[in-house]
Amino acid sequence: MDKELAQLQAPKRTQAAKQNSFNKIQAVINERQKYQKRSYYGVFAAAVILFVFLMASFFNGTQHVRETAAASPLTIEKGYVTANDSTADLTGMTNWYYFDKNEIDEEGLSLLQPFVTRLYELDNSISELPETPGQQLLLVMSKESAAQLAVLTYDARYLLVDMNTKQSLPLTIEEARDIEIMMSDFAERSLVGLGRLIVLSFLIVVYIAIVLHISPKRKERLEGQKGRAYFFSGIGMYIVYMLANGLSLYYFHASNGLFIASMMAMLLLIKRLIEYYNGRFESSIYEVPILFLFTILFTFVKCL
Amino acid sequence: MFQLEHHYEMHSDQIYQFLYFMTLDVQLAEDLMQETFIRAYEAKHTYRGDSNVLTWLRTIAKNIAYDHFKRKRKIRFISFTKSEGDVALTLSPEQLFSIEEEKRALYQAIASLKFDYRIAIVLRKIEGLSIKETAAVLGWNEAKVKNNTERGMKALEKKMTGGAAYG
Repeated sequence: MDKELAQLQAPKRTQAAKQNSFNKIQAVINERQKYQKRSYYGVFAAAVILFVFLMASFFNGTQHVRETAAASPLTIEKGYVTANDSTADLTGMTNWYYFDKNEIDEEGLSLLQPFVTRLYELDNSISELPETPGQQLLLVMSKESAAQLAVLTYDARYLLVDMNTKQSLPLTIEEARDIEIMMSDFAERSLVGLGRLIVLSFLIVVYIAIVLHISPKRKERLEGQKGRAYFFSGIGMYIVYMLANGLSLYYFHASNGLFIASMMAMLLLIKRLIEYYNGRFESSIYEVPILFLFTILFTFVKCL
Repeated sequence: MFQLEHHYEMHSDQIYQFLYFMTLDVQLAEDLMQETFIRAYEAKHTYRGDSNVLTWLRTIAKNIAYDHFKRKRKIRFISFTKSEGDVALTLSPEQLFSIEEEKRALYQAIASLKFDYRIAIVLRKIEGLSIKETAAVLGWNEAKVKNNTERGMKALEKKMTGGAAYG
């Protein structure tokens, strides 16, 4: 059997057929190069547009809560619990793409309403805000105004404080506990660490599967890579994500999904631009919107 | 460094032969061979020089053949049947006619093999590659190459003898 197999020969190709085949290869390569050149200019234009978009997100929505009037005491319509860093200004937190917040339910709002009413009726200000890092913050909004409230301990008393106007309301231990329980309910209701990790891992796997599906030409390159290359590229991507998230926290004091996703997408676009410029077209440009969507999803789940 | 014209001249026949025995279709093998060189040209920056160009081209050709079967594209003269979770070929009367009569049974037996067995036999027994070279092309370890070649040969002999010896 071995001998029979060794003697097998494919039908011979003529010299003319070989040349014809080579001409076809060259024609296809030329055609693809033209297409790739167009792709390059397309990506360049997209990078410019995204950059403008990203810059716009800096300058738009920078209306600080500090600059708005205090909440009108009788018309609180919505409330949010926002995580950490209560002393920072919040910008545009009511927009959908800010994920460091949890909406307070009707029951919580009705609990809060009388305290807010009393807070502004009393007109009782404290001279200086105590340093309480990591304090959870209430963001309450009426029709055209918003206020940042926090429950603080000050001079051995519990106070409900408007963090911007420094107006305060002394609370009894029970009242402070009720508000804090209402706020901590959100922590209990949100995804626990392991559940979040599983969902995030699932998102990453789906993202990689989609990317490999839409960029099949990567196969030759990826097959030559070892497992640790995947691992380190994943770590690298996470570091870039954390840097983008850090920038978001620095500028907006919250995880701004739109900003982080735009940042990640723009970095990927620049990477593609460099690759395309060097004639490497094995990665699809459709990876960029996929990354954009998955970054928003990832940030959303991470902040749950 | 990959140079299209030079390496096409040197290796196109070997890539064509490899693809022919993977598809048993002259035109399809020619088309896939062309695609192999196009893809190699586009990915030339990924060639790291730690294997020879022919091994690298065979790896690309293998991926192209695999993708081709996996996606179940409609191919002239060939229909697909599922066999043990893998794609086997069924030769059309036109294809059989183009093959020497005494070798038709062998071709039919090769065609009916699972993809992994067929590719191992084509590289080891028809192309005459060593176990190490085959492992490099397929991205398998040497034990897997040996295993698939042995099992493929057994399956081939079984099909050639109508299952009498092993059946």
